[in-house]
Amino acid sequence: MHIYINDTKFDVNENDTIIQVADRNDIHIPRFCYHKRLSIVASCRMCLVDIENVKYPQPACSTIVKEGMRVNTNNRSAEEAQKNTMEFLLINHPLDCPVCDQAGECELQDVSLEHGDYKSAYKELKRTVIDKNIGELVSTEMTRCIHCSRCVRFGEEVAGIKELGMTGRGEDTKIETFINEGLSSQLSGNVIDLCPVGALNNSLYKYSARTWDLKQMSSISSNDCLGSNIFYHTYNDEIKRCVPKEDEEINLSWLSDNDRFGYEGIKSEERILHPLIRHNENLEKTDFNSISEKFIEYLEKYSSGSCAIMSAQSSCEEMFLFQDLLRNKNVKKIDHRSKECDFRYQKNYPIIPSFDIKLVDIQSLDNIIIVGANISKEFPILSIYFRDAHKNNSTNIFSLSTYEFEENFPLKKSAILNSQELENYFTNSNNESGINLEKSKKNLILIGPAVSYLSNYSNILNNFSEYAKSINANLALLGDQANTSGAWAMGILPHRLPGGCFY
Amino acid sequence: MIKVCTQTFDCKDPSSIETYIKLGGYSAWREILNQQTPKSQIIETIKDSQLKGKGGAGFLTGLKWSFISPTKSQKYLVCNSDESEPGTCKDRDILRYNPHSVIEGMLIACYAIGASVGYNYLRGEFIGDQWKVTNNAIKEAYEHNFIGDNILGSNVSINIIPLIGAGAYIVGEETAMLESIEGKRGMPRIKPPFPAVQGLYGKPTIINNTETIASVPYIIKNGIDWYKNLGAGDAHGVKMFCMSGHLNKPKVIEAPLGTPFSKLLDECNGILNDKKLKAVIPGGSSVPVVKGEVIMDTPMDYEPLMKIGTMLGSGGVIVMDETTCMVSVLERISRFYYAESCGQCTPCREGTGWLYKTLVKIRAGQGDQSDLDLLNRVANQIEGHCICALGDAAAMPVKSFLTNFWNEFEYYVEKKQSMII
Ligand SMILES: Cc1cc2nc3c(=O)[nH]c(=O)nc-3n(C[C@H](O)[C@H](O)[C@H](O)COP(=O)(O)O)c2cc1C
Ligand code: SF4
Ligand code: SF4
Ligand code: FES
Repeated sequence: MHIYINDTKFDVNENDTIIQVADRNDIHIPRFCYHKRLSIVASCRMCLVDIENVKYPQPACSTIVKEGMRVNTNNRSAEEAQKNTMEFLLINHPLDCPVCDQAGECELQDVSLEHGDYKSAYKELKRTVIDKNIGELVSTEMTRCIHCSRCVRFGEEVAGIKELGMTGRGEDTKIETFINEGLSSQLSGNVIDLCPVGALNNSLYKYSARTWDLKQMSSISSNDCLGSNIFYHTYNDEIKRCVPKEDEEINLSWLSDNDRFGYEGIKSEERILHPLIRHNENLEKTDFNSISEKFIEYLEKYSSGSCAIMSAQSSCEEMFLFQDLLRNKNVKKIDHRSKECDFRYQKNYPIIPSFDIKLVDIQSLDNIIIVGANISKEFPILSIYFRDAHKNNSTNIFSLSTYEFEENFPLKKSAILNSQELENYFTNSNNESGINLEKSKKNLILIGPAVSYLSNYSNILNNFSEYAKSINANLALLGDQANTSGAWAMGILPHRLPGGCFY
Repeated sequence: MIKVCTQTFDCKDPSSIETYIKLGGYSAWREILNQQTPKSQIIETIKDSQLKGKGGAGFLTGLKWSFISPTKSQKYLVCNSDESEPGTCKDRDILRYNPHSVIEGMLIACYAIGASVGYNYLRGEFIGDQWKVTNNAIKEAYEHNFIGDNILGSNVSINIIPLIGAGAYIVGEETAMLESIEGKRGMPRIKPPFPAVQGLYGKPTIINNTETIASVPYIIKNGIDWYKNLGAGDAHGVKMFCMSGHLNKPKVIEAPLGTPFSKLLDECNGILNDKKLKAVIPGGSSVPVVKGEVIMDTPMDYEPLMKIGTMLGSGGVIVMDETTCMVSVLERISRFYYAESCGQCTPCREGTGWLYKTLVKIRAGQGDQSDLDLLNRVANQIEGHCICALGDAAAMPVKSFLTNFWNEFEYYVEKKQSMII
């Protein structure tokens, strides 16, 4: 099947929209309400294009291609329609770009420059909208809102909590939270990126820099073990904000609020910026040179009876060097598991504990059993995959936990158990679990970090591994720190060397 | 005088099931259940009767029913009793005085399209009277087992559920109504997919106006030819005309389609105080206005009204005499669409406000010639560029008022006052 856009022929799939074809082929069509990861509402009318033999211009975001369709994105009719929409969007917009944080990266500015007019015929009073306090992280300037409803759809469709909605009618339509509620979802910061204008802003970044002065550096979020891709934006060598870096295999277009705002921790006054050395009761500030000499001296003196703990928030390189140094100095007991107490499991544990399947394959699972994890709080990005799996594939999701919480996706069944009950959940001869998974289905059992703190962790792990084997399930092991897997691989363990050889 | 939907209107206790049954009510429904009439036969009958939708668009009802997806899945019928189009006041009378014709019509329609549930969505303001009458009538029909499970022992089960809106004009638009029924904000959906394929809760759904639905039992009972022949001249069938404005006796008249406008005027005893007719909006405030002299001899039917540049719409006939200031009428109409736009489409949300504010300015004596061109331009920028027809409905009056009464608008901006004193 094929269509023509601006007289060039393109191959298309049956259910493509015009905008999808255009995007694939780098043909620019302006848009506001359309977002590739949200449902289509076709309400902003910015993407109007001309279609041969159709009286009025049609929205490219919602119009499905037809064989031989001839589309024009930039002839007189299309350009006029786009210009007209731009005119309507601007009549009530405050045009306060000089004091707007979005300026410089604003879709309204960009599209207006390309498709708008330099003057307006509108002479009436402009609309003003009173700002709402919707929480600590997202600040509002609702007079700037262009009603694209991306923020509303994000809540309903991605975050799974309907926090923002439209109230009022016509020109008085407003985006608001439900009666004085603030945003509470762990994904709420994403509306800052989604908002094409400066209506929903990053509270912590507010008025602290201009976008065109920022430098961008890519990084990996160290907030959880998913490793979301991020960009840090810096000004004068200071991190000003953090935004998602698109990644089709992990965080898609999103970030959790912890990913986004976690960098604030480096500004904490409690942060240790210098090495400290203990003299009796007191910790005294020192520098790296003098401390490293002291360190080696102590190591040589006390190595045999010492143990060393390293945080799994460190990089693999740091961890490798750390264990190398210590082992050379005869320190045998090295570990990163500062919160665990039952280590019997460690002999059979994988060399590199992992999620076992790709996140994108969650979509195709039939059943997921979550053991001891509050996904929407601890791994918000993962909750997006779970929601999608439930929505698109009717995946059954079960939750077994030792405490109570809510999830932003529907649970087929959830149970609150004590550690003993958890251990025996699938081994009790009279299986009352009500969870009956078939071997022929695609199953996943996910063990959350909280389980590893239990005193019978080894038994629990053993029983769930056995059960996983019996139903052909993948076993996903989620660490409590960003690089737990790296710590296992680098041998930050008493019984293994880097690469997994037994010590 | 013919009476179809208005048959019970003059009876004592018009809304009771006894009155309705005495006049032959529910016999069509009984007959269908007895004969197990094939669904396709009912759809063909309605199609051949040329019954057209009375909600505004005038789409052939039988044809619409035939679009219903033939799948076995759940299907729905929705009766659109949101009647909010300014100038329209017919459905409220049907609901008040002949509620059982709506119920029987809904049952037959449900049967024909294979729906097991029918919703009747009443406008919020009907809570005082029509809502009570509707609920009571449904209760009566349940008691007679015309609705419910295993109706009259026929194995057919259909439930009718009444709903009441919250006062938004836009939920009269069929897809906004579906959203509202689903408990969401009443905003029109993009089409396609059309409701007959993907409607309420994603299932195939047919939406019809109250008057359309109320006509169905009479057509099934009396036959195709009977209904077709009710029309005058080339027209088929009847329509309720809501005669309002400068009339000696404003009222709702059920008359043959094709009746000349002048005859409807006579029925209302002519123009108030024998003034001269100036202008008519023949189908509710959304359709273009025409000059009095143009419409006088026009048959009130879909085609002839199109020929004179307007539409039959909902049958809300707004009559204006020579004392009417067209600038102030347009200001009032524009205010309505400004207040009732659902606010999702940019051109409608922003444009309706622009139109209204400009008209307010003109009326306050602060407009100039350029504002008239602006009105035309903004109307053209809205028309055809929105999700639903409310945008067009806001634009069409503006364009037609300016075209037909340009000199009056020009006078207003020049002299800063109305031509009509
Ligand atoms: C803004 C708007 C308001 C409408 N309001 C009503 C209404 O109040 N009642 C109605 O029956 N149809 C209304 N309609 C038309 C409906 O969308 C739909 O066409 C109609 O209910 C179909 O029924 P019919 O085919 O029997 O006429 C409205 C349409 C629009 C665009
Ligand atoms: S607040 Fe921003 S994202 Fe939300 S509707 Fe307004 S412009 Fe769109
Ligand atoms: S045209 Fe107006 S009323 Fe209709 S969907 Fe768009 S904004 Fe809403
Ligand atoms: S992007 Fe297509 S209508 Fe908004």
